[in-house]
Amino acid sequence: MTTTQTTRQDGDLAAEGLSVGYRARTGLTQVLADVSVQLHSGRILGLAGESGSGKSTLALSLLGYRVSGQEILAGRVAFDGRDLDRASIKELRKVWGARLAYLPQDTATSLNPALTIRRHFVEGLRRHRGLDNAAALARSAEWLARVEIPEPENALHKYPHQFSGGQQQRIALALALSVDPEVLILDEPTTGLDVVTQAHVNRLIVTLARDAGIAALYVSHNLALLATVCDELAIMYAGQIVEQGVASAVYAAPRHPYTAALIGAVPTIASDRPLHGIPGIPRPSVPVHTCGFAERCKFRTDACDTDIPLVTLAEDRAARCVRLAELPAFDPGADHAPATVVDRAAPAKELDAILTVDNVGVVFARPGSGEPFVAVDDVSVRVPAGRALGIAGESGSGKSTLLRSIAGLVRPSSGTISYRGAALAGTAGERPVALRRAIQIVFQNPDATLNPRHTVYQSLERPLKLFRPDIAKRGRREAVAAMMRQVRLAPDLVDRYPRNLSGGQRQRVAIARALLAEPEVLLCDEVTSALDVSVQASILELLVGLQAERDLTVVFVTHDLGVLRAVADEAIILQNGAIREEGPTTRLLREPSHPYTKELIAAVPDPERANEFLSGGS
Amino acid sequence: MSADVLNTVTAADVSVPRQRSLRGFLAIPQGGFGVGLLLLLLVLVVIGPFIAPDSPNEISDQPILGPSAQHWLGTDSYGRDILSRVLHGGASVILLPLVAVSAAMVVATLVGLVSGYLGGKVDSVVTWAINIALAIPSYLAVLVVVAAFGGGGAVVVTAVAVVYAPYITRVIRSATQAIAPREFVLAARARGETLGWILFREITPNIGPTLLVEIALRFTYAIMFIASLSFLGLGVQPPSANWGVMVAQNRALLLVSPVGVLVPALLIGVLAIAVNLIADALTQFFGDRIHERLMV
Repeated sequence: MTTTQTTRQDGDLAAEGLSVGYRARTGLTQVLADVSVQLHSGRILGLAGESGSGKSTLALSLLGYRVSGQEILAGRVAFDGRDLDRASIKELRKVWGARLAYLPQDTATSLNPALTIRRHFVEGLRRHRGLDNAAALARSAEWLARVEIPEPENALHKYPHQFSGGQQQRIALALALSVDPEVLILDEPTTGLDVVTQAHVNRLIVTLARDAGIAALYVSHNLALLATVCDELAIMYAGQIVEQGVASAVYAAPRHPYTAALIGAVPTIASDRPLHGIPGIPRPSVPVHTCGFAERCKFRTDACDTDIPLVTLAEDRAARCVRLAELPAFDPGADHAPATVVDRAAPAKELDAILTVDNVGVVFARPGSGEPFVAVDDVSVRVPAGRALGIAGESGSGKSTLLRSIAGLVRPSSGTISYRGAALAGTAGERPVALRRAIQIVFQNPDATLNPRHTVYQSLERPLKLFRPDIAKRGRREAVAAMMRQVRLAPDLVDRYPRNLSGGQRQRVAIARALLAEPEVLLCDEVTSALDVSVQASILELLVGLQAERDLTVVFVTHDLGVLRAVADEAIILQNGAIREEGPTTRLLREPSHPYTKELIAAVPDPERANEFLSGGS
Repeated sequence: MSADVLNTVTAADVSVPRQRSLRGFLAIPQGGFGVGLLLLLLVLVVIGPFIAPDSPNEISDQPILGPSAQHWLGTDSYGRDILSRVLHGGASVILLPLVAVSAAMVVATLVGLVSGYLGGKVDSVVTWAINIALAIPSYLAVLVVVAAFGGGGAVVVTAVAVVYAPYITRVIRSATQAIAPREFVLAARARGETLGWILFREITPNIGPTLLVEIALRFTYAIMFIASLSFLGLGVQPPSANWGVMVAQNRALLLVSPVGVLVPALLIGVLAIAVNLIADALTQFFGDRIHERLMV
């Protein structure tokens, strides 16, 4: 058994057997163990893993960046013949920004709101490239043009807030690349952006990095994206690299059960493959004498309880699993478990509509300016009983506002929303209790969806008290426990406060809170967008299962077309508050007719159409 | 699979709740020191009247005696035992501000919650009223009220409560505005909860830390404010034993017998410092939580 090669070319950045820990009062927690990665010029290495897997620690360690309490336990970070892990801050300042560039997720941290774009560029170019003002300005404008910022000369004199989020990230990219770095570290650079913007930024990153011969590391939780934009992939789990290889090969035929599970959890728009969550949550520290993934693995045996080396399978391919020899390569396309998606024979048109939205418009007054903001523009939808309707669109498309007006949180400015043929009052407070019970809503943000000062039981008891007079006070605790089991929550969490629950658990509580009212219609507002991919898959699995089981009608708002495909029978595509296209989800995604739908679909990263994605999708 | 989930999401994977106990609060230097000082003063104020050698207004000896074995702090210009007056004079110094701040707090919390949550016209009117109230200098306002209605505890307490209420309202209002758009509040609205439930059960617990810090801070100000008013002869009226009144009455003898001024003045100072330290420690104690709730 050999571990990965440790030879190194000059100019490339490499971690060699790197182990890192954080020291706190409670002791030392190891977060990286024996990690070896190499970045090669002109190539992009993708680093994937759930939150807490150690990928950001690795990214920062590669830069020689040390946070307080962090200790290098073994190994080194080699760059151009020196050890970055031991370099002094003076040495590091010479390479940071000049030869090693870093692009973080949030431009709020990379661009200074008080400085013009010009100042951002000129500082780096003068310091690291010794250019004079005029040369620096010319170069800045040139780079802004390369990242497709309109009127680059003009843009130099503006402040960051005068650009959109996608433009800011492109400016930050131009800023990082303008000094001709050899290495670029990207930490979730497009996570906060809209789908179409994401695709645009990613295209630029790949093209520019390849053209400039930069060695890049791309950190992301989105495996499909990484497989599309990267040359190689490394999968991290619990501080170890569990699989490594050429991106397309790893994605098509994973060898480690974790890689397979992770791919299985990513919603795609291309296939009918049902999603499968990974049970449990990632362990926070490096495993000792066992496989880190063992406790969540379907293939675990007693042989897993040992130190497992990263085994080289072929040139450019390695995996860390005891059962590599026995287990064949996984086929993420195949599915062993029965599909949870229920086949629905009756066409939607023939079903009774439980919810009808007729010519609904929502207009917000904009303070200061006279022009009001039209959030929802004359939208009409029928939601057939027992079906799942998906509403997709980018941020600002009005999808959440539409959902909130159905929930009675936003009063429509025009039009009517009817439930079983009877018009609903504009706000929830004006609706009779039976209607408030029948329509329940689940929100996006797991940090805010539950009152931090109420225990799980207090949150779950409330709908029972309001909507279920049939359940006596004594029976409530039992009803709550039963519902918690249904949403796959251990009932002994009932007296916890939300801060002591994980994000996925909080969303399950929020779903339980809605279901305890015994609703007919469940409104879901981006309920999984803040969760890890593996947790998202299990929540979606749960929702799809519950929907079939309880014959619920679900209205699901999402920006992710893969998620849309996984949950919705019918879908509408919203843009600027208006419906652009509607129809059965599968047909809509396979044969889109509206240009906007086509644009959205082209923006979804798909490893099988990588070239198409990178060339612009059209 | 479901069994797996149930087994794997129980205890070990969840972060241990951070202990926020009284001990944790006392471990903050300002907290421990402040609480210690305050307790000492409270003991003095509560058992003082019982251990005082004389009753506060009893003329027990010759006037203007220096400290001696019989009169530890000497006597004042009427021949009253200063120590006895100090031991009796603390209650009103603590009680009046406490009542004033509590009254202001109740009104301000109600108005702040309603205005912050409902927004719109209600909020505009409240904000307008607050801005006007804040433009009037506090001392001037209270002086005018006292001039009109006469001095004395009840008038001063009411005046101070009225003067402080807008400040507190403003803090509560902005804290409420930060919580109101949160999804758990939206969820409550969608359930059709009553205004009372949303304000007091959903929002109030989440602005608790802000409320507590504000109470402690306002209490400090009120102590100083009312003691100053008593010194000016507008608050507690002579011959009542009150530290503020004592400073005023004995200041004529400052050069002859300074303890009569220094001791009550010092006690007022220590009381204000103790409460201020507690307010400071509360800010630290809830600090991250206040940030988490309000700044995001």
